[in-house]
Amino acid sequence: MLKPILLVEDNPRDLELSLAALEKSKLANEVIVARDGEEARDYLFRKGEHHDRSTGLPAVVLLDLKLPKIDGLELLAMIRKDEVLSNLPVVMLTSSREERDVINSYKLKVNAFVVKPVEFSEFIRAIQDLGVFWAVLNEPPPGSLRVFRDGSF
Amino acid sequence: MTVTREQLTSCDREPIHLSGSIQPNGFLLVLDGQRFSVLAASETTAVYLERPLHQIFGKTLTELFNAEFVQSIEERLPVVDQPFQARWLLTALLPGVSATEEFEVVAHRTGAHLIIEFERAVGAFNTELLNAALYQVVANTQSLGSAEQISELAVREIRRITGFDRTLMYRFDADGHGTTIAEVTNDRLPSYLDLRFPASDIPVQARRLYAMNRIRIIPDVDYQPSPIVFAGALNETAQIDLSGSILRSVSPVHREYMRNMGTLSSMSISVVINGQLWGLISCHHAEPRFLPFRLRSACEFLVQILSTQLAAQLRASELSKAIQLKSVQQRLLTHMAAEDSYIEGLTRYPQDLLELTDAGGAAVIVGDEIRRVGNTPSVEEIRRITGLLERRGHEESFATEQLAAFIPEAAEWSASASGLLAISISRLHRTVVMWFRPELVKTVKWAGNPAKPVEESNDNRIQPRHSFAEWSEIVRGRSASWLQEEIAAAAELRMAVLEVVLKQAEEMADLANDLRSANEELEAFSYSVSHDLRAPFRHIAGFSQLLLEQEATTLSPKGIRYINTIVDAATFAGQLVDSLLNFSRIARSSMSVMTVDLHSVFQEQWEDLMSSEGSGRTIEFGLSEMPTIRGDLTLLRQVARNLLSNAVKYTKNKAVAHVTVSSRLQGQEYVISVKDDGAGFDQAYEGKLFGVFQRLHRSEEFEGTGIGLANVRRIISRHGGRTWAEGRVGEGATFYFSVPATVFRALDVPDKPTDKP
Repeated sequence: MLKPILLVEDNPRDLELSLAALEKSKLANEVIVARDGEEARDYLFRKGEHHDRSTGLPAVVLLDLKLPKIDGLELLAMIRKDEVLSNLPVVMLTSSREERDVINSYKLKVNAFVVKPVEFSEFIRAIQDLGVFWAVLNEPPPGSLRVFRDGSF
Repeated sequence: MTVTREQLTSCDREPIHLSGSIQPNGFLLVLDGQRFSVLAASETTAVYLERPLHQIFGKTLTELFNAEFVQSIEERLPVVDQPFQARWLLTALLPGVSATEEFEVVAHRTGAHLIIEFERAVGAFNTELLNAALYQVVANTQSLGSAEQISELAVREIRRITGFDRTLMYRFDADGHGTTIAEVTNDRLPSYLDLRFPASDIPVQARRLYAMNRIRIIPDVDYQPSPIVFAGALNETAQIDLSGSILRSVSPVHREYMRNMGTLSSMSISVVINGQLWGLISCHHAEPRFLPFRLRSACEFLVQILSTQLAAQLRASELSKAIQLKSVQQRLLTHMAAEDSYIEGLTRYPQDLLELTDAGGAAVIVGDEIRRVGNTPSVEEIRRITGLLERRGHEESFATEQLAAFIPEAAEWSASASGLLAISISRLHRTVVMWFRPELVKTVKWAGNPAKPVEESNDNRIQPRHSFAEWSEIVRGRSASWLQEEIAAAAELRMAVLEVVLKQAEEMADLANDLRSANEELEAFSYSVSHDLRAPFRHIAGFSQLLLEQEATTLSPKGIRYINTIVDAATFAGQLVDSLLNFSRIARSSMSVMTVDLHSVFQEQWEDLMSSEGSGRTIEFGLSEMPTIRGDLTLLRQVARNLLSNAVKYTKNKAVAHVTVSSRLQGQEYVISVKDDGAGFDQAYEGKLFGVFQRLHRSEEFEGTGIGLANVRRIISRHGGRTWAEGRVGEGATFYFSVPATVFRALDVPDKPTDKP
């Protein structure tokens, strides 16, 4: 029984590359994709089209900074404010290496801040490392959702 | 009798208007103002009235002369019993006297006394000459432009109608010193043009007299003074004020002075402007010379006309001076506005700055910087003056004709700075403008050549040459006085400069606002570059890589090479964006300053470098003693990394390379150098080395984005240091940077504690 990874990414090319990287990393975890901040929020808070999903939390949220509707930092703030979600591991996975983005993310208690490398092999390595650490090595907070690769609980 | 200079200086105390005697060419009666009875009379009265004084004392005028004569006097007197100045009443024969001699009868009232003087009406004068002179004066004065020109006309015309050998105009300055500004003379008497004489030559109370009683004559200096004799009890106690008298005897000192000048007769006419004694027209003759009273009156009248003209001219010249100062001020303002710094504007056109206050030199002091124009003391001396002004405290302007009175050693700079006029523009940031004037004596010439040894045997006698010498002594170490309007002009300049400064400050504030918004825009731009520009490069690199993996078997070797090139290019583009962002971040990010040990920074970076880019290379690394400085550790690491990485990179073609890092203390800064024996560079391109994306080698020779040294320069300049390089093609390069040592020097204590006694 593995916890899913929630990947929040609006850019289709980045999404494809990230999924390819996750694929290459041979992780058994399910990857749930949200295409904007709102969808990610609905998933996490079980609202809208995700209102009837089963309870449980992902192993980690890979969160882009710039997102339509609700951006990464706003979503991170919501997660940290929520009683149930507050301990959820969140990793910023972004193009930005701006100091203020890094600072603001850490102020909101992000668990890691990863700048996507331009070089693809490095990108793969980064994604792989992330997946292994957060989805396999890290012991998640209680209440995390566990799913099997086939989607059963 | 010989009068010495010592006696002369005591003249100020001599009560000369109470001299108690008159010149003998007439007689004087002091009358009771009510009864017209004689209280006192000159000794000469007995001679002219042909009877002893005791028969004169106590008599009324009617008793002395006759009713008809007294009536003609009375009807010419002012009706009110108020003091009035000497007034000509009539020319008459004296009734009851055998001599057939006419007298000019002149009266004035002082206190309770009516004083009537009878002057012998001798000598004729040419009315036509007088008329011509008056015409000349009236016709010409309007067209004359200066006090000197008006004075010249005055002395020429006065000499023409009086026939004196020499007539001249003395002008008094604010301190009472005199200058001869106009003169006409002949070969009988020497020229005193440009002669200066000290205020003491014409004592204060004499000047007061001259302002009141405007014309005086001494027909023969060798006259026998005739004392005023008082009737009975009045003798010892009563004093008669003779200041209004026309016959008054002059001080023996004055007569001595005349004899020493070789003038046996003299006449002087006061030039009074706005109630002040402005000058004197002085007439001299080598022989005794008498001038009829009415001719003297005509001269006085003529001088009054000229005084009016002079007053108007002086007023006009004050105005034109004011206008001139305004226009100079305007020009200075224009200069200041045209330059980035007002100091530049003030000093670029020295003529205008000096003209503003009629100075010989000027200096503008801003902080520790001193700019000088014209004739000034040295920079060091100006610093001393600045110190003096600062000690004096809260004065916006300061003017002195004698700087040495405040700074004793300034006596040595008198050639440039006897006079100082200074304005303090800002005390917060020391800003002072100073004007200097040379010693006056050095600017004055007199044809009488005061430097020539005195030839007279008795050189203690008072005479003009001595006057000049004494004047020179009095004004030694002094400059010409600063006029009120010059001080005012300086003060106005101060206000003008303040306005310019204020305006520039406002412009700076605007500029700072513009810069702030530009900076914000730039930041927004970098942010979007950072986030958005890197993404497409990542996509190109990523998908090319995926394509290569997916289609590895179907692609031709050429196709594989093409895709690899795409990957490399996109990766490099990504690096360029990253390094550019890093470069802009160096300028923007705040520095966290701490104590940094450069030795360990270089050591760590070298070790790190040799385990990555430099692995497998044989490099002899030398790291000498390094200072500990104040700086941002992360940024200084970048500096060390960049310089060392360059040294490693550009020695890659050497089998055994040498890289040496050393430091030295030079003045107030440490200079660090990183030397290699690699490819080197042409010194001609040194200026380009530290630019962004500047490369001196082809990219296939040595890789890199070309931004490393730009980063180094930016980081070092943020630390208050400089960067430069030396190199020769094929012989290696040395890169230098400096960092201020001052901050830390105070803490340079010996490692070992000093031995305690």
